[in-house]
Amino acid sequence: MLKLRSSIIKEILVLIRDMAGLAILFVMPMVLIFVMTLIQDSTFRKLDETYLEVLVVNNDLDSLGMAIEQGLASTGFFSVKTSLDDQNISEQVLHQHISEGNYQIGILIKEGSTKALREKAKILIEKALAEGNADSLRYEPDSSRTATVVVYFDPVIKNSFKQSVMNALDNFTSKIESKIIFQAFTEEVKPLLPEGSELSFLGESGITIEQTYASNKYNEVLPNSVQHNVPAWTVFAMFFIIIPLTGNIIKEREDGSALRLKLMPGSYITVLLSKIIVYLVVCLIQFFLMLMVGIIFLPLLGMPTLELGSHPGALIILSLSVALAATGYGVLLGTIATSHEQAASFGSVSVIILAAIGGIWVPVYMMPPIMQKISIISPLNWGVDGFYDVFLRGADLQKIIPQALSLILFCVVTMLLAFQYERLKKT
Amino acid sequence: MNPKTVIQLENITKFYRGTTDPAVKNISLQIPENAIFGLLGPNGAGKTTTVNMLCGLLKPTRGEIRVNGLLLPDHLKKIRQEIGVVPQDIALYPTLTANENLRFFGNMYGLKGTILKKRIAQCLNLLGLEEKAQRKVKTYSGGMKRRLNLIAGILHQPKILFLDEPTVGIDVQSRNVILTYLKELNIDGTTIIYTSHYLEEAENLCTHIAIIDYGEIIIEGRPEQLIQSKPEYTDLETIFLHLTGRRLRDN
Repeated sequence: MLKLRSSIIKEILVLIRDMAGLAILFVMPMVLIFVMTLIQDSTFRKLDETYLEVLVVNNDLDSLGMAIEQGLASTGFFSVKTSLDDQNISEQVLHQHISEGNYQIGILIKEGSTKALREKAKILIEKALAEGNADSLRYEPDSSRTATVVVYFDPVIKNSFKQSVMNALDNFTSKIESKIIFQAFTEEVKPLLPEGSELSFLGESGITIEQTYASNKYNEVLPNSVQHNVPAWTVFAMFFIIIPLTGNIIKEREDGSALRLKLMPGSYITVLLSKIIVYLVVCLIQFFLMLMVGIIFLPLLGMPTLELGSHPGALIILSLSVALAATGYGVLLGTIATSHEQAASFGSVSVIILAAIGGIWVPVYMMPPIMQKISIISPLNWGVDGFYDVFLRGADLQKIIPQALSLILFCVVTMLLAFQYERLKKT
Repeated sequence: MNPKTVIQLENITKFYRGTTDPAVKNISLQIPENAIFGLLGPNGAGKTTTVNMLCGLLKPTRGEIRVNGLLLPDHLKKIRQEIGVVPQDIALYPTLTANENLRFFGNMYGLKGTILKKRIAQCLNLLGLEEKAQRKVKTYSGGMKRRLNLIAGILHQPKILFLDEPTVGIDVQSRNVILTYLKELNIDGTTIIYTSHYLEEAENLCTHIAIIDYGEIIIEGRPEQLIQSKPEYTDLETIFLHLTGRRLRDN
């Protein structure tokens, strides 16, 4: 115990007196989270389809125009803009903005559309009630008057967005068309009804479509830039401790301290254990700081607040598992690498590759199918996936056991490889 | 009565993985208790390989090593408690103070509390570093680092001390302090195994000398005996050059 305690104190002293190392460990990852979250925020918002801006020119100014305008706004997917720089948008301006790519969708509701719809409805009702007697029709159809809604699309718009807009428009126009037909029908049959009685339009569909997420809790939490970037870059930063850790191991070997420690009874293992303990604590401090960035600092910049889920135990076990995996990888690299340069370049490049594969930069669900399959080889992916489970899917300890075990197993394997390599060097 | 043998090597051969030439070839040596044994040789002669095998850092491919009668590597743990090593490199933590370094290495040898404190103070005093004990090692001069490097290897009062070029690259004053201290340690009963390229220093310090080249011991004995056995040469350096040649050994 004396050796372990002394070795831990030594590691802490070495660490806290290395300002550059401390910056790599704590400041740079926090800066990284800030920068990446802010950069990726707009991309994630588009992915969530929460802020698709739609220009609307409502020349109808009647029921159809209002229904489309209000309907689009009420979905939450579209941000409806009817004016730019406090000026109403004209058809010409709308066309110009879409063609220049300033906006991706524009909707023009032509003048008199609602009126045309009403006339059409009246003719339909009359026709139906006249039972084939065309002479008794009071309304003559005006072929020049039609209800027209023109949708302009930027050619680069994703097909899914295009489809969303068309579906929404179809929905709103159908509703308003039904309402207008019902109103026309009511007017026609009013004389036949007993005095004082009225027909009322129900409007709502008789079919209820329920939406629910497959997880038990946090149905309201969608993966936004904060929910992705904070855990992703935290895992990345935790793995980046391999740089100071391998540097520490190689320095000890180069200056002969490792040799001296190896010649002390039972000390080398103790020293290695102390490094693992100290760097585990470093990882946990990093993790705590990153969470603070997501909970406190990013919301100050207008970003969403990081949701932590409701199982702190799962969160602690998962972060410990990631820390163990990162430390194990660092010990292996530090044992095998023959110089600082080799360890730093191989270490950083390997973590970046594992991060790219593992869905740190681009979430795995956005990758092509082949990359999604490959991503499971990256321990960073196991970590991020586990955090997704805890943050977004309300996973408890039991649910994250596969990821935690995989990370711990990775740590065990890397440690064993390091010890085996060290043993081989003796011969 | 013959003095007790503390280190015995019998037909030691060492091949490194993937090599066909042995680094050490069939060496047999006996190092008596309380000797200052100088293992001398040109670069790449096999000195470090031999010392590393004696410390248990490397396993010999063939042969047997006994330290204090105990067979290596079977009794490695016990043997390591009895040996001290002063590597050629400054094996210290530069961002820690001298005191912090020594406390750490002392703890690693199982020393603690007042005993360790007294031992650190005693060693620092003997090697003239007591006033600089709270300074970080990175601020030390080369000579101070060497002296501290020596202290870190002897804190636990080992019976056998391995020194790999303990005076390389330092001023005359520091060298004098170190050599005087080594002689005192030896008088107190420590057996010293020492490698160096300073042959004059070895001649004055060592009670026994072995010259190794191409992995083989080519001559062994007391320095005065070696000089007497080659009357055509006046000192150890000329004998050394005669035996190992004047060709440069860059590898």
